[in-house]
Amino acid sequence: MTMRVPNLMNNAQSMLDLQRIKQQYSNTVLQLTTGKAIVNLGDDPTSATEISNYQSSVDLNAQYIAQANTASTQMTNTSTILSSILSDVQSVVTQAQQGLASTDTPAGMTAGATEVDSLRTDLISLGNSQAQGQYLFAGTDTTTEPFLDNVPATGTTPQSVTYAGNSGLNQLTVGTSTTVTTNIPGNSLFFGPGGQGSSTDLLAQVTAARDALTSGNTAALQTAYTNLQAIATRIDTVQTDMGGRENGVSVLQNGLSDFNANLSAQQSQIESVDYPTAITQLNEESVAQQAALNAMSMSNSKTLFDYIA
Amino acid sequence: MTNLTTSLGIGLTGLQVAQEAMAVIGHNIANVNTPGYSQQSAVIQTNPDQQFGDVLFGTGANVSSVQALRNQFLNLQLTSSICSQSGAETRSNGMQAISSAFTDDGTTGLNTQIQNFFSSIQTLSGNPSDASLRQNVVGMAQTMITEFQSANSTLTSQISSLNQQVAATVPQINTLTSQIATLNTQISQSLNPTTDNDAIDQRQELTDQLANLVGIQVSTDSKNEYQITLDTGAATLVSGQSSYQMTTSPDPTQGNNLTVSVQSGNTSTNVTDNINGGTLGGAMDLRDNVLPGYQTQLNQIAGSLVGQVNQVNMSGYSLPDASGNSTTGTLLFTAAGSIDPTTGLAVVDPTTGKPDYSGIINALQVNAAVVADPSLIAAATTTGVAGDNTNALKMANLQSSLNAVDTTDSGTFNSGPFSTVVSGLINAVGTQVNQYTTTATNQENLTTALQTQKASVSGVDLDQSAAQLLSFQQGYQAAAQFIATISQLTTSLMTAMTSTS
Repeated sequence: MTMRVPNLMNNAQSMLDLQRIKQQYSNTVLQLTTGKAIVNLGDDPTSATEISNYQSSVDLNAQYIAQANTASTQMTNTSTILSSILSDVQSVVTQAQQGLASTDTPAGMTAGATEVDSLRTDLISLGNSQAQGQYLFAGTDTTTEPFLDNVPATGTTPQSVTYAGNSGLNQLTVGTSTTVTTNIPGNSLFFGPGGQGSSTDLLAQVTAARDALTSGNTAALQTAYTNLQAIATRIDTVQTDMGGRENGVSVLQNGLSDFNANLSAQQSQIESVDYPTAITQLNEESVAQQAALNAMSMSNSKTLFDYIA
Repeated sequence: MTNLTTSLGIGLTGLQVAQEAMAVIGHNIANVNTPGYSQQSAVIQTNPDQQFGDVLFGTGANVSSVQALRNQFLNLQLTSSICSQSGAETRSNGMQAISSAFTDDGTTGLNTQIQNFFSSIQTLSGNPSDASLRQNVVGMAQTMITEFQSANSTLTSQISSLNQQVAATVPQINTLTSQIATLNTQISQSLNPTTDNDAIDQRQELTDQLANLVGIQVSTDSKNEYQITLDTGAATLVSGQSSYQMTTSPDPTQGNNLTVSVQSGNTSTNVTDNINGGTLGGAMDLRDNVLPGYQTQLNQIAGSLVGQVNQVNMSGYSLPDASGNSTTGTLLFTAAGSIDPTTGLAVVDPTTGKPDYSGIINALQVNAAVVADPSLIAAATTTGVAGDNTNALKMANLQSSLNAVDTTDSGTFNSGPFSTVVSGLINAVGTQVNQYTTTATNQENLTTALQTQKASVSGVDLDQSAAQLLSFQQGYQAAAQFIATISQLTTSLMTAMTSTS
């Protein structure tokens, strides 16, 4: 059977085909200009959702990385101050050791007392250290100066301090259900497990050492010396613990960064256009468009009327 | 016995047949590009014989009728396909118009802005006393609200646009049904209702135009009149020589969206939910079902998010003032009439006893008191403690909660995290765009195939017309030559008779 092929029929089908080629061509051009494989949500909803899911995971990890950076900065600041505190404590221990030595003279002990008093002031100052406007050793009461030196009105040397901070721990979220404590409350660090005024109280023992050096009381100096050695060990442990936490956060940061790079790469595989493929496709579509136009032009160019004289 | 005069008559019929046939060809050529036109052909038959003695002599030919090449079954199939194609295209175009509002590319999009908001709270937890970080939380909250409102507004404006499309389509439908009824009258009253070809073609063309606008079913009665009903059969639009008008009226319970009814005498039938195909069916489906569904989901997500953030903020304490006093019970987000200021959650519908999220996005804003004084953001769980970040952490952790969104309007946050629910919404929109576009493409293929078949049957073929023209031209020339010959014979006879006398 021969099918009639009227002119309108050719045009309708050819126009539809041509429009589709042009639509596909335009889509490929959009892919190339945007660099994205999916230019319309409806083109590939599954991949569009995957991209969104990847993006959410990348964003969430970026939040954790940023928090880990903040935690790391806060812990580095604390570690730096801890080193200075430990150094001061060791200097006090050295002064006490010299005071206890049989060769030390009264003048030497007085000079030692002056040095220890200076170190005591320095330690209080270190206890009031700030970073980014926050007191590092005030617990969570970070806008309150934690250590106030109680200077007697009579002008004698100060004997005690008042702690105005609290025992709160600053925690940051650095992963799903993962938090890290970034601070050491000042009362815990300076007063130790025995509390204020006890043998573990750093400032009390420094004050005791200073007073023992001033009065030449070797028995009291010996007690302070022994206690300060234990305190130095404790602060060293605290510093080590802080270093461990820093290291843990650093490992976590690296892990999250690697994970994010991996996620981003996977996202990019779906999201980004494959340029060689797209360019090849564009060329093919260009050829198809030309062919369709030529075919339409040829099929509509002549009828029998052209040959009737 | 035949004579020369009879022969002249026979020659004349040949001229007439050729002339009439060429007129039909000319009509075909003139309508080669007329939409819906069916090629016509002259039906030629021989005249009755004349008997002289025992011999029958032919008396020439005549054109008995002009018939159109038409396949009515194909036409009805095409009409039905046009309804489906038009409905799918309207849905596809409408969905594509709103799909960009749901695209998430890492810099814009709902998921990105929700993440940015929670990220700002997370950052605040690193230094809760920092005023700039508090200001950042306010800024990110406002940006997130803008993103919600932008997506919602895209849906609202598309719904409004579809409503306008409904308003514009109904008068066109009424014009077409009225014209079809008039043509029904003309066709049924013509001498032969089956051969009033141009009127039949015109009616079919108008019916196809009607099918493009509204889903219909078409049947033909004994008088060759079209009976047209809605595709669901809910109402009749054309019955023989009568057409029934569609009317629209705003429905105050549906945001003044137009309801569509068909008037039959004093009876008005509401057909708003009873049209599937055509532009009208597609537009009303998107307007009344599909797009409002997405708005509901958006409001559920926004309402659940701000409600839970409000509750955490209300339970915590602000940055202490100069006197060391903190404020508690502050809402972070407000929405007049949609968020209950005492609970921070969506207002409860007194009838159902369930939360009503419907108007939250439109009215949503960051609490003006918090905008004026970001220190009211409750990062602390303890009063008077500037560096306490525990409440901020609690707020930031909401983003990972598996019970984040109340998707059932029950007051229970049953689905999460937010990013998954938003991704689900993105997927639903994308899938629906894909589905409608695929359907529209398939229907377009089907319609084109049917149009091709129809054109194959009914289209004007210029080559065929040219060949026929040549044939009838030659026939005309031969008939004319025959008449000239008979005339010559007559003249010779007359001359002979004259010379004899």
